[in-house]
Amino acid sequence: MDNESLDPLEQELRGLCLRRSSPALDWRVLRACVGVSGLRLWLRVAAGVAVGVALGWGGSQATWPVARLSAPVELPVPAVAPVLARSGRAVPVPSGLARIRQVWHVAGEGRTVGELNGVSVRRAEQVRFEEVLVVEPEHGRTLRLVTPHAATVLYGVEPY
Amino acid sequence: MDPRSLEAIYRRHQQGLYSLALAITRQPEAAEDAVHEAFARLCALGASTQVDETVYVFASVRNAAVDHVRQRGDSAITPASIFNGHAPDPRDTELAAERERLLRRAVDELPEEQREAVVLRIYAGLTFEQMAQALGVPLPTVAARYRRALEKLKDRLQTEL
Repeated sequence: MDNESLDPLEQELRGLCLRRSSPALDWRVLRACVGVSGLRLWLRVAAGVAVGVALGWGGSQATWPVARLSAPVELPVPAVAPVLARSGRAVPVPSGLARIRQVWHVAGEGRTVGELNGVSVRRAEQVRFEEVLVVEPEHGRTLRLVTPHAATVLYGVEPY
Repeated sequence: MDPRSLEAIYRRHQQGLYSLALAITRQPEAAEDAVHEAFARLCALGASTQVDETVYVFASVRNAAVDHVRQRGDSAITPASIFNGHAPDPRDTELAAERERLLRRAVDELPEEQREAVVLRIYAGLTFEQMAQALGVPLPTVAARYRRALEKLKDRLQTEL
């Protein structure tokens, strides 16, 4: 419906500023879509978690970046790569956008609480996205997470 | 439905979908849950649909929002506006600002069916035919709801300003 076909009241209505959803909704919906279509993604997540558990989540060989939060903090997004990057290692960033694919919230060393915003979650409410679900590598590589308690967060990114 | 199609529809219509859910639930959190649940269900089903996919998604979000309201039952809530908090533009005259405030309140206070029609038409940009399909009512019905909504808004602006 273009503006020209609207009467003045309709145009006035269209000019009103709507309440927006939180960025977390984007993540939840896109996660729901990607999660079903991407068997590859699930395999990757499972592999990442398995290695993470084996290495106590923070080992130098961990396949997913790990950070300890006492919120709010800015987390660097260390790599946008189809192959999961080691924590802190810089990986060449492909052109285009990157999207945060998975965030795992871990209560204690080596113990998974569950998948954030997924189905079997405990204490997921302790972590919420505040902003930047889509990261443009050229314009800052940060993912802002907010949690009321100190927590360990395992997260990963891949090309969009 | 193909998850990629769903993702594309979400990206194109996320504001309209959320506003529709909010217009029904009147609670921001419940509206987000409704949108999420609808997409999760559609992705899980994976079934193709004979109708316009966009319409199908709007209908699904609406159903999820209605379910939320049913589950909530009679518990009292403070209805949230579908609009953002008012931030007056310093260039606006006092009358213009008052008119805007009144218009927002008037939309929020429309009967649910009329509010839905305004959201779907103005903010989601659906055609009357798509609206009729999404709401499961005949086209003349939805057109009449929309027309009555506009008349009511005009009346309120005239009488209260």
